[in-house]
Amino acid sequence: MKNIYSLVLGVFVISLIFSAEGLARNKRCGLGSKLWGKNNGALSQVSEIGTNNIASGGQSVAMGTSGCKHDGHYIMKGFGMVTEDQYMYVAANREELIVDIATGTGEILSGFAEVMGCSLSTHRDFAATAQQNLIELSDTDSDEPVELILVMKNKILGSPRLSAECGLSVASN
Amino acid sequence: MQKKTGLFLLLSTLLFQSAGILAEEIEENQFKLISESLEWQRIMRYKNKLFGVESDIDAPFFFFSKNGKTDPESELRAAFEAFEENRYSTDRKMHFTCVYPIRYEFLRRKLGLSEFKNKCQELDEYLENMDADSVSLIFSSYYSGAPASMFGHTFLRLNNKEKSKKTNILNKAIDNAAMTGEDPAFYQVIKGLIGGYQGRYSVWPYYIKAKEYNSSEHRDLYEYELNFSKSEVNQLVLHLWEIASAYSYYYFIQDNCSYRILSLLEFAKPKWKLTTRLLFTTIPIDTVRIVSEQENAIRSVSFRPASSKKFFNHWDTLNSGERVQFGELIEGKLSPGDVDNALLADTANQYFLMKQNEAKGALPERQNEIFKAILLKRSRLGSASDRVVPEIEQNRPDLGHRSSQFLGVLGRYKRSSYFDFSARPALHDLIADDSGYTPHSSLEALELKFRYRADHNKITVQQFKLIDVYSLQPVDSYSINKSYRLGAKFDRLKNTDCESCMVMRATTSPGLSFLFFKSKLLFYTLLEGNLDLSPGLENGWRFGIEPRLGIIFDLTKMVRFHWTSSYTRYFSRELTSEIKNLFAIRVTLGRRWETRFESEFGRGIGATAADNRLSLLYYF
Repeated sequence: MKNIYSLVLGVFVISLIFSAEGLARNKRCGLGSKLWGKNNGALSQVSEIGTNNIASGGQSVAMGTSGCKHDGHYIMKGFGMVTEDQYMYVAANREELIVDIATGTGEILSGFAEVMGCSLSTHRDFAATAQQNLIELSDTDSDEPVELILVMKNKILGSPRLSAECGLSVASN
Repeated sequence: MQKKTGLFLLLSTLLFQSAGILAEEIEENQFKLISESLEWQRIMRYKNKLFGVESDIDAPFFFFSKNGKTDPESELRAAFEAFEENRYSTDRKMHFTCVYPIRYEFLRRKLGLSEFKNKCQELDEYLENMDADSVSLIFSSYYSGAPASMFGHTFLRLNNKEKSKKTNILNKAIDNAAMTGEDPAFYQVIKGLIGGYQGRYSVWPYYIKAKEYNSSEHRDLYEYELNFSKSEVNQLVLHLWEIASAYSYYYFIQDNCSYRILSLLEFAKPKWKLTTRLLFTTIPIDTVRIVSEQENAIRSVSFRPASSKKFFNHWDTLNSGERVQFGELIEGKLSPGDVDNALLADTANQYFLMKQNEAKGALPERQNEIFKAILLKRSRLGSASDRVVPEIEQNRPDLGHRSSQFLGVLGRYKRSSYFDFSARPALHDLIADDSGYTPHSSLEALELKFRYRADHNKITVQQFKLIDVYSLQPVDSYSINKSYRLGAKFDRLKNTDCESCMVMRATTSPGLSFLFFKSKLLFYTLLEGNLDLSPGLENGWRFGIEPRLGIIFDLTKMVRFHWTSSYTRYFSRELTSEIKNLFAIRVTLGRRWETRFESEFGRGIGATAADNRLSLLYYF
């Protein structure tokens, strides 16, 4: 009987120590899986942040948000041209982004400006433009990052300086 | 990026030309000599074992030779053949020269392998995506909300110099973790302890890791930028490419995520001896200390506070009138339209953001409406508040006391003197200095205590503490942080007729804590439930309910007092009730030394007597 008690107690204790960190936390991962197409790759990573309707993009998604410079890694082409970097960024940070937009500053907003292709020198203008259009941006569907991105692109296009600095033009869209 | 591979090939070609050795001319003993070189051992991750060496990579496909895991020479020969024949990997859909560029370059240099101009498009794209100038070791602080996370966690961030301080969240993080799939938690624990999972590296956008720790779990991140040259960073990235498709079996106690992160650093910076400094356990914060103790290891340390800390930092900046307004604002009693104070609005926004993260989703409808209205109002108040919210003070975990300890105790109990000696591998107890740790939290694991009694003239095992966790998180104005204690230990049965009997005790208790006097005094209350199993007890067991009160007071950083009293009601025929008191004082004598005095006394059924102890403690 004592042995059973010991076993139960031991397992209970070990469960306490080890059940979270490094275990349940990391069902998703794998540079290997992302790079070489095994399970739990980029799409599961994306799905964890609520964007599992993303079109398969393969390696560029796997390798993160910046540096997605290749063709074929777009969620939408034509008018929208939303990259997977932009999509993932907004999907992961929407709540913090809206707060930063309202405040007019913050690292999540600066990161957003960068993934939207806007150089550092324009971040202040970018932030002001976003702040002025908070209602429209925050009213977009929280489950669909593309909407927020497209609204912001429209606002950038409304500013000749921003659209030039962010490499956006109606023609390029 | 073709540029990079081009440069790599160019360097290799130069080295090859200088070597100028043809394959058939290689002398037999050259393979042996080169396979014993430190560089080959490093590339293949060979570690010294009791008998020979063994690679810490477990995936068979990582090796060209069937015996490659334990036989460096046979692996070297097999690799030479594979590269010389310019073999193609059907799994990876590229030549092996692209799969293992470091190995290939090494063999070209040492053995004069032929030069193949294979196109390595995936490798080029990988290098372009991973372009970094420096590397940071990231430590996520202990998570007092869950005992399992109290050890912390480490991972790496690759820093690109084009990212400013404001956009470094766009950098990439490198993590290592066990691939547990959808196994139930209990199964995960068992498999995790016996190496039943594959541990693999993964690359993430840093903002996802930051969100996970800062927002979802309210954990601080400490970012230690390491003194790596650009070429060392490139080595790390290239090594990651070679090993990331492979796996190693994951053992949670030693061969865990932090161990693997150290291995990566060690590869890129061979001068650093890191993994050899770990003995039986790999505690994440110890790996940070091991790195920081290398010569000139750290360039800078930055701090990314948890979202809850950001809110409370804003809250602390408000004056008393603003705090009243804040309460009214978040409850909807004050219209956001009437708020012209940007700091007040920012504080409210941080509050709702914290609540949103806690709820892991949308806020209740009413709160959501208030939040939106405050956001809108804030957007019309300009870009910055006229008052600056001060930076949150760091509590650098690497500067805290070491994880393991030896303790020597001189004690007197029932007119008899004794000497205790104990060893504990981890981590921190309630009366210890909290610098670098979550205040008023403890995690004691696997402490073994021996006792020598002068009157008996023999040494006995006095106590074996499997685990003892306290999390005394104070209640604050805007969230009720529950305190708790969890514990399991083998101890001697005190205050009974059989004081030499061993008892196995499991404890669990909810509670509440309150902070006073600028956080110098903590008052806590716990309702403990104790299950005791012992042959010295009638029926072999007893269950007790134990309400407990306690005070922890910091006179200075060096001196802490702890007093606690409890009343236990046992539900068995043998004992009815017991009152216990403990008074303790700790004086810090340096970063590694402490002295303590403890007095335990009480009143109950059976023999009772004061137990007074003077102890000296050494952290290592």
